[in-house]
Amino acid sequence: MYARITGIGAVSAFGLGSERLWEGALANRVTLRRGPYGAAFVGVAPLAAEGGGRALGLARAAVADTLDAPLDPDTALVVATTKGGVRHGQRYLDGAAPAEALHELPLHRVAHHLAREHALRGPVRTISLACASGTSALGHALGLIRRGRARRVLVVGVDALCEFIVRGFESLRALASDEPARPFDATRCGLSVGEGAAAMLLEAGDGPALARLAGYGASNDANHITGPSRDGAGLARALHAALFDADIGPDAVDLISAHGTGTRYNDAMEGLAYRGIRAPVHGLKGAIGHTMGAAGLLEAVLCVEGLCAGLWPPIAGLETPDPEIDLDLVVGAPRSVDATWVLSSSSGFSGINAAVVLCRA
Amino acid sequence: MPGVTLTAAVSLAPGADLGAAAGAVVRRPERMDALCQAGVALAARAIDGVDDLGRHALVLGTALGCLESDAAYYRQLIELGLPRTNPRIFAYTLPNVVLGHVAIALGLTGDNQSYDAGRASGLTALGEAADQIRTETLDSALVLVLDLVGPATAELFGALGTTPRAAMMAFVLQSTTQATRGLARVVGSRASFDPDAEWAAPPVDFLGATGVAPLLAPIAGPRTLVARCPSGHQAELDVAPLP
Repeated sequence: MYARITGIGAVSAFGLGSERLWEGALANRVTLRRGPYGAAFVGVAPLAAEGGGRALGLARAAVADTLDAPLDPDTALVVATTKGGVRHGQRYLDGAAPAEALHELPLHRVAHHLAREHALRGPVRTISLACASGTSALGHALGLIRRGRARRVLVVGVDALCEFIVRGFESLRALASDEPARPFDATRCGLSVGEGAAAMLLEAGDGPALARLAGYGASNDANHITGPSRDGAGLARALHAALFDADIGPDAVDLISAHGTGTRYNDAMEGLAYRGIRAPVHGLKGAIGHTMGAAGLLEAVLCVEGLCAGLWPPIAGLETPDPEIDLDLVVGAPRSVDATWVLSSSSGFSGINAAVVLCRA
Repeated sequence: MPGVTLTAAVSLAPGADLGAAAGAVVRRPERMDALCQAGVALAARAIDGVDDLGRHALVLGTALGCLESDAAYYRQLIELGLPRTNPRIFAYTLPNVVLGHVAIALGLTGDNQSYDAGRASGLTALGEAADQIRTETLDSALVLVLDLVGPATAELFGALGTTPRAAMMAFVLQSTTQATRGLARVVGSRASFDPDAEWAAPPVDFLGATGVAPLLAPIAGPRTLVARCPSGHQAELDVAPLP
């Protein structure tokens, strides 16, 4: 059973709205700039501060962009985030916020606020699976619909930047230092982080839709906590599980939306995992940075736009594809692909891999 | 639809030597944070003697996740500066890292799932796992219900005006057709949200394990385990003795 995608919304360093995301990606724009967190290149969403914290503000903006009408109270809510309101804890430890700020620290607080604001009574939960959180949340939402636990699920992916996050990636020496991330490029030297939120409304049954969510698969490399499996076998298992779930074979895939972080190990691992799926590959992180818990959702939103338009944005920052990576990468300009089936994947710390299959309505 | 059998239920007592417990499973447990030590130790005990997990998932229910490692990492960043901050600690600021360690230690390559639904996290995780087994998406699930209490947690809950209690539990759920032994049946589950819920500080806060503890004892008759969180998250799990 597929789920209908009936609403999409986004806020990213391209600005507020899924149209901004689409137009910015198509134009091959790179938003990554140095600061405000030291010298790191980051993608900062142009969102004014408001009550409840930055992550909640980003999530609210993405949800507002998604919805045309009030949600039915029985709607389920699934929020994906890696660090949620960690900025509140950081500010408390910095001495810049009172202890009351710690109320907003637990990961489920963004979901709590969104559910209250929309008076929801269906299942509400937060999923935190590192950088695969967003893709995993889509898979979880599909499961809720298939199992009859919800007729309608609002899925939200969000993460806001703060010192805690940027310095953490810096301490791991994972960040590109001399230039913004350039996924799959021969000269790439690491990732850039970004912030943002995306939302998607999924519905059961027949009716109008922007696109459909058709399958989900996940795996764990069982190999290393912070590095991907070198042979791509874990991601390949997740990809093929998603294709099996969607009841299609690898030959049916028209386009791959890659995780594409710009780290050597990740890009090489993806190059191996996608072997046997001969389809053009695009990615978003060179444009707006790696938005962590929001990444899978933002990429899925872009896939919906691509399925509707039959056009796929290039990989921002990519100029000279790494000759070691044997993929048909979308370079330099958008590519016309009248796609029916799109495979989108994410991988993250702890060895997790997740993939979803989207199809044209 | 196949039934769902609770095959194993294990716990660690607050104050347990987590390093020693994890050391029985992995080398160099001191390189992990306490959450991962607890998770690895519990997971190994829970699946001991379970023949075949088949299509499985590792499932985590937690309300606070890696709060202690969050605080440890950021305090080190403030006090020592970035060049002297241990990068390893940053990796432990993600709650699902415990699932990665369990996957590595026990060679489990299936799906990973994590649920934070406040105090309903544990019952939500168990309910989701049972639901996926019942609908034949999974054959089995190893469910960890974990919330640790350390200095950062005490500070947070001091501000909230309640006393937190650590939760360290693991459960194996299996399709009845797959299970070769059992403790109880899981016969139903529900999750919902109450947007009008009002905060009321419980005198003792069982965090994400609220409502879960009865699964650690023999199930004498049909009963419904309930967790309601002041955040609005709610979950129920229906259990019954084996036939």
